[in-house]
Amino acid sequence: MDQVQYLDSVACTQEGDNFPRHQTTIINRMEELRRATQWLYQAARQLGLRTSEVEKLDFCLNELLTNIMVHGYADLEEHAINISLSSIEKRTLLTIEDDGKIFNPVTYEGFQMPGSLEEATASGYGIALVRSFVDELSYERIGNKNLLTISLNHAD
Amino acid sequence: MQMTVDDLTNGIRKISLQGRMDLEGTNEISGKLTAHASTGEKDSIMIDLSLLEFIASIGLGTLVTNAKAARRRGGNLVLLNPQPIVAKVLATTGIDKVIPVYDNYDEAVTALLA
Repeated sequence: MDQVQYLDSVACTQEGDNFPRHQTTIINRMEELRRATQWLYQAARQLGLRTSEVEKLDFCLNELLTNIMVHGYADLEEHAINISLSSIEKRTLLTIEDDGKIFNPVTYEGFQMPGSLEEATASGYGIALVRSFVDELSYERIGNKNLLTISLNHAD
Repeated sequence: MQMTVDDLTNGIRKISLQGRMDLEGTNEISGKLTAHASTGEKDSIMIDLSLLEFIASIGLGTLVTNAKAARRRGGNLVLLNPQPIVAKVLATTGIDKVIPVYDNYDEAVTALLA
């Protein structure tokens, strides 16, 4: 694919949608993770999210992007990953859209709590952790794209 | 990501981690961490997490790998004083049940020297 064009963090409102939505696009390169984190903190600050909520989003975004970058692509080409953050009524929504392999973390079963140090593994914790941090996780395959949506309920 | 190593007079090697232990941070320090924690030079390893702001699953895996290597060599590895978000990751995965975690330095030292 051709060089991906970046869309830096912007606040916009989609048609029929009165809620501000921040969006960015990164490429599937490890060094982009830190840029995505910086974008998240900037967007979250503009949305007025609480620190505890941002920490959870930071963790989820990092895990899910790492998963996409490490496991999502069979080629070595650059791929765009679209991310958005919005605050809607009493919820915060983080979406990640990629054109990698089909992967549904909602139904993924790959983690068992270790009973001893010997049983503990060096990998396989990410999706279980993401599930524990969010109030809702949804997945859709639309055309050739995975669309993940994380929902966090605002603390009262 | 930064890592500092102190060999204490009581024989314990204290390794302090600072920054974000995400994919990039873990790649930066994992070789050095293994060299200092798992090669058998010291039996008692304390990893100070008080300045660790973030840990991803890849960082968690690195801690597990080093704890297992220390155990295989007859040593012991404990974690000290994780920040709340790091403590939550350790608890959610059950790692805090298989690698001892202490919020108090003296208790960690006592456990390692027992």
